[in-house]
Amino acid sequence: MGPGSRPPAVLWAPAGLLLAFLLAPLLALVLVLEPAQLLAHLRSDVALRALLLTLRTTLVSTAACVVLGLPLAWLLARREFRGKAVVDTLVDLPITIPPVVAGVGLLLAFGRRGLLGRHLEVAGLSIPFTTAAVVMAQVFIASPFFVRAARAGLAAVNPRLEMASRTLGAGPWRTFLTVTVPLAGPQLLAGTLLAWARALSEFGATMMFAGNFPGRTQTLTLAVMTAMESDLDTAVAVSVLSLALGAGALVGARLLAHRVGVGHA
Amino acid sequence: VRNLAACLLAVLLPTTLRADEVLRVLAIPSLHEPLAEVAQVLERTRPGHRVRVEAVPGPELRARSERPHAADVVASDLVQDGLPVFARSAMAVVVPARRPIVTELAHLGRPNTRVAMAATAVPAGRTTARLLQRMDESGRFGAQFKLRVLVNVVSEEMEARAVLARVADGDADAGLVYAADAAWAGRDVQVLAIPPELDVPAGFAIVVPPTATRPGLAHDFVELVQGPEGQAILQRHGFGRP
Repeated sequence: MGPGSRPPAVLWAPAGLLLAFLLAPLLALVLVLEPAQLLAHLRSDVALRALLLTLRTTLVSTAACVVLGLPLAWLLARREFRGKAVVDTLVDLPITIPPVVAGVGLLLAFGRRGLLGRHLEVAGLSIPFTTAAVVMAQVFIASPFFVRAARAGLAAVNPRLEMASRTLGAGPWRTFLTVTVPLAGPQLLAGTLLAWARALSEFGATMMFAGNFPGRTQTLTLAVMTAMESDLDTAVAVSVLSLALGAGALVGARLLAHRVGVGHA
Repeated sequence: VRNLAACLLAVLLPTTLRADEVLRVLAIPSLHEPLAEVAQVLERTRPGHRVRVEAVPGPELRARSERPHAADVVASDLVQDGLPVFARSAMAVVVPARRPIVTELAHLGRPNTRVAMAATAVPAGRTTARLLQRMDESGRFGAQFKLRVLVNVVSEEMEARAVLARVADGDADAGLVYAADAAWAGRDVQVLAIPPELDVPAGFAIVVPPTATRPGLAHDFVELVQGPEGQAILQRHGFGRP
């Protein structure tokens, strides 16, 4: 079957079923509250503090993913080294392990009695229950999304263009910043947005490692969990807000990916 | 962390038995061990019947038990009007067994003490808040005791057992939990008892939902829990009479 030919009608039935299934909970979330109610609940103290904390922490964690992830992505895209397959698998691992398990692991490593945490504790640093713990949980869970996208973007840059730049006298850093990064730019940005979206929706690792305290570690997802117990409408309102942020990030990433497609065509 | 992992496993273990063959009991983690023992008693006296007691965190338990046919018996610390209370527990303060920095109740209010408690959105947290209020009003723990403790709170958990895990792992310096939970934790924590005259005992209720698929056996289970045999088991696990 060539591209453009009509797909058999039989495919539409299961495809439609899946689409309807994916759409139903989202519609239910959006439709359950009147817009005015929704706004009123979003102005509540719980929602505002959770939103501010989430924006602050995800901004820092996404920046960390980019700053620490870009060199790793470059090494994976451009260099052959021993154990590369292991590193590759390691980078993807956080995607496949349950976030709650990641949170238990972070506690075992950085908790006050953890592998590294007990030494930090001696130095007067305690990470659990702090906003820093929220950021660490987000970086752990979200960084693979950036590294994967950045790696693909960097690998797609034609090395001859970089060589041309070097031949014209530009140093390796200048070449990287003025040739490689702009060429891979849309992919890098898309990866950044995906990592941000994943950090936004982080729940399990944050709850385990950072705990739940308004204004300090209670992000939007933890606020939803807490509000579910006492104030369902606020829980729904905060859920809709998270949904909107996540959808925004995804649309942004898709538009950027589309630009890549056009650029290569 | 061992405790956290154990809680996790209990929640994540797949349910493989067919629903119509077993009596399905949903219980908050604090009630899991004694009710599992009661279940064994029922299985012994009723050969051919199986009882599965599932430990489910409070928020999930309340969401699940609202769905029709989701459970035959629901036991939790949410005591609503008219629900029969089948057990009580005092509150207790737990501290890590190793090098505790909180060694008496008044220390809960000292600066830079990390206190874990249940969120006031859940029953355990509401009981905790009432307890702190009473301790504050007693005047025995210094001025503004409740406020000073609340300032020290680092995490609001959705479950008393989660508070316990924070303390057992040493990440929190002290936690407010059900005394029955403290008895279960064993050697990882030390217990600072609340003076009986200040205690706000928590109640635990058990109910057969209207949509239970095996209401007969469910009521037998509830009767067994409320009867002398069930009460003896509950007391062995640190619970008091209703």
